Parts: sequence; structure tokens; C-alpha cells
Amino acid sequence: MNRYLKFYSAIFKISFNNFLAFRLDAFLNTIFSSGIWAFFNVFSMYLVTLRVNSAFGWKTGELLLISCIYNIIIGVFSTFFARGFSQFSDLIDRGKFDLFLLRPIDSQFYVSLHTASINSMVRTLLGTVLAAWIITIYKIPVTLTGIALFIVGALFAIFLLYSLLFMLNTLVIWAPKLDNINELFYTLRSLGRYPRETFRQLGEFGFVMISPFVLIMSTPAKLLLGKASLYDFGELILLTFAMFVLSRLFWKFALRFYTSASS
Amino acid sequence: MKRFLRIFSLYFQHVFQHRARNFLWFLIAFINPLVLLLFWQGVLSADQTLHGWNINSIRTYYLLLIIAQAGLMNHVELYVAYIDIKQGELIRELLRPFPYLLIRSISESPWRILQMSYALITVTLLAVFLKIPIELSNVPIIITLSLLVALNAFAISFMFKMILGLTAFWMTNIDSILETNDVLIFALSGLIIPINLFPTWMFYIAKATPFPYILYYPITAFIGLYNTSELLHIILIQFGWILGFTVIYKVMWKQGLRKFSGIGQ
Repeated sequence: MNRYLKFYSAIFKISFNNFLAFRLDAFLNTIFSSGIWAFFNVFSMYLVTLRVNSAFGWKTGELLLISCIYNIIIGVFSTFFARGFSQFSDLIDRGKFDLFLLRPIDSQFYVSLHTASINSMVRTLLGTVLAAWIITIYKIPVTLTGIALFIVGALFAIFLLYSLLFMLNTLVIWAPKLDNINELFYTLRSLGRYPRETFRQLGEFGFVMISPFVLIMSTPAKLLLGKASLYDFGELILLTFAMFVLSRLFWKFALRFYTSASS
Repeated sequence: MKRFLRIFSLYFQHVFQHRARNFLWFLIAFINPLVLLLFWQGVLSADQTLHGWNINSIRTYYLLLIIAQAGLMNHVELYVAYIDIKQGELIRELLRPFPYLLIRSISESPWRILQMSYALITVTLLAVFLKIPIELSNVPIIITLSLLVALNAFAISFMFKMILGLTAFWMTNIDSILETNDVLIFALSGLIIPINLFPTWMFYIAKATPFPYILYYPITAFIGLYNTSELLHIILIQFGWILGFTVIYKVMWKQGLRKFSGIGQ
């Protein structure tokens, strides 16, 4: 465990130095694009809810708050995990993944965390500022217990998000040309900005399939607002553990089919 | 003509070879309108009307948005910027006896055709599955003019994205330009809600940009929101955008080629 922590802290330091090496690019490009998306996610929800007072039992302010929470969670998630997967299909397609398998470290750990996206922290920061603003403007009651529960819920949500992304990326071992699979994931995860009840219209099967993506945002939001039941929290925790174990097993299974550069 | 058909056929084979990847791109674009359709379906009651939109017309809007996004919204800028200019593939295109603009329009068309066919199948299934009555205009002159609006929308989108791609001649990293463009398109083209549901100030900003002429106006034209003179007015504005973009493209292409250094742009 200690070895892994040391290894990751080295990776984080390298990523941070890389970020600072191209300061102008970092500020003009990466921070700007992270910031603009963070703002836009909240603004687009503002547009959608402009002509309605509530939707599926959620008030306008609460829906906007979910969009802010989306930015907070996605910001943390992207800082640690997203960039590691951005070139996964290329690693598999060109056989560069051999290097990941040959190192004396767990391949899932290494492929998931081999680089960090420092600029994504901006998204978390902006999401937090916007959340505080929305809470003040709409006078949404938030307690310290709610914030503490939200942090715990958000951590589980991030691990659930990771497990889903990891499973989806594992498919690339069979189809290395699917370099846009992460884009699909990013679109699917944005479903979390909408109330879970929206997707009941898709029928039982559609609702169950979409649920993990929706739980990622709605359960932490409910925890923050003091609306979550024990069932909601338990559902998130159980699903996170189940998906993480499943992603691990799926990875081990898929590795048998990796055939290096000829795959 | 035969030569161009042959080139088109070769590009089509290339696109068809990557049909799973293409289908994923379609899915990515399809999810957003679907979610918004479900959202509005749950929020609007059967007898409620919002600025002229009722439950059926808004559902039709989002279904047509799926088709329009697949068929009219180009992504040629990525190829122009990252492959042709950054990786230097433009050299190959410059040596060919065809105008670059023509080759890129031929190479982009198969993507749109394949994605539009995915969209048509999906929308038909959705309309049947979710029991959505699609409300379209049945007046021949309106349909004809709406087709012209759609063709112009494709041209605006194509020329605008070509210009966007050409900015790579001058900039080392155009990621933020492309990201900003994505946000603007999302916000102002009618991808989130029909633009007449925007706050008034934002509606006028949107109308002053080319973005609603790519998605919002073609969709609402087919729904039948406009009479003949309004459609002609929209077509005239679209011609203006196409002309403006063509001039900008020509200037940028001429200046950009002087900056082009083969590789290492």
C-alpha cells in the first residue's frame, strides 16, 4: 500500500510539473475550457428550467444545485482518472500497453492513474463557488451534517463513476478502434444532471441501465439537501462495491484477449 | 462528375469500414436530445402551452433535432486542424488536382449520410415506442423551402467548421477555440431548448449568430412554424452567412498557406 502511495505521489508531482511547464497554454487553454464547461453545465440547466418552477419533485434551485454538484464531482474525477483513459484505445491499438503489463505494479492501478489532470481542479473550484452562490440565491437550507454526508456520498459516486468508465474502456481490448468510447461515457455521465424520475419513461430496462449514471449525482445532492433515505445511501454504496468488483473481474478476463500490437 | 463519384465512393467505403465508431458518434449526439425530450415530456402537461410550444410540437422538435444534428452538423474542423494542418497531411491534398474545399466536402458527406440513416431509423423507432405523433407541415411549398433551408444549414455548418479548422495555421493549440465553439453551438443553435424559449436578450444574441440557422430554423421550418415569406427571409439570411463565410474562408486559405510548413505546424 505504501509503495502504491509513494508511486502515485510521484505521478502527481510529474503531472503538476508538466502542467506548470506550459503555463500560458495551461491558463489560456486547459483552465479556460474546464471553466467554460463548468459554467455552461449550470447555465444550460438554467435555460431548461427557465419556464418551469419544478420538475419531478425537484425545485429549480435544487436542479441548478445538481448541475453544480456535477461539476464538483466531475472535476475531482477528471483530476485523478479521466486523462489516464484518454489514450487507452491508442495504447491498445499500437501495442504500447505492453509497457503497462511489464511493470511490477498492478496493471489496473497503473493504467487508471498513470497521469493526473491538474487543470480539472478548476472545474471543482468553480462548481463549489457556483454551488455556494445557488444555495445563497435560492435560500436552499444546507446543514453541516448535510455537507459531511455529501462528501462521503461524492467519494462513493466518484468510485462508481470510475468503475463504469473502467468497464467501458476494457471493451477497447476487443475493439481498439473505438477511440470515441470515452466521449460516449462523458455524455452518459451528464445524464446525472437530470432527476432520476426523468428516465422512468424509458421502461424498466432503460431505467435500470441509466440508474448508475443518475445515482452518481442525485444521491450526493439528496444527501446535501437532507432528502436522502437510508435506502438511497445504501443503494449507492452497494452499487459502488458491486461495480468495482465487476470492473476488476472484467479487466482480468479481458486481459486474456490482449494480443499486443497484432490485436 | 464520374471522378467525384468515385472519390465519394472511396470515402464512403472508408466511413463504412468504421461504422461501429460512427455509430458511437451518433449515440453521443443522440443522448442529449433524447434526455431533453424525456424531461419536457415529464414536465409539460397535455394541455399546457409555452410560447407556442405544446407537448406534441416540442417532442417533434427534439426528434427532428436528432436527425438534424446527425445530418447537418459537420465535424470537418477536427480533420482539417489536427490531421491536415498539424500532421501535415495537407501536402497530399495540395498536390491533388481538386480544390481542397471540394475534397473535404466529399469526405464529410458519407459521415453525415450514415449518421442521418442511423438517426432516421432511431427516430422512427422512438416515435413508435414512445407513441409520439410527429407534427410536420404538409404544404408542398413549405416542404420545398424547408429542404432549401436544410441544404443551406449544411453549407453554413460546413463553411463555418472549415474556417474553424483553418485557424490551426496560426495557432499551436486550438483546443480552447474548439471547446468554446462547442459551447456556443450548444447554447445558441437550439440544442438545449428552442431559441424562442430563451430570455429575450439571449434570443436576440442567438439570432445575430449563424448557429440557429444550422439547427433551429431548419427544424422549425419542417414543423411548419413559418409562412412562405418568413421562410424566404430565413433563406436570404442563410445566403448572407454562406457568402460571408466563403469570403473569410478564401482569405484565410490564401494567408494560411503562406504559414503552412508541411509538418510541425
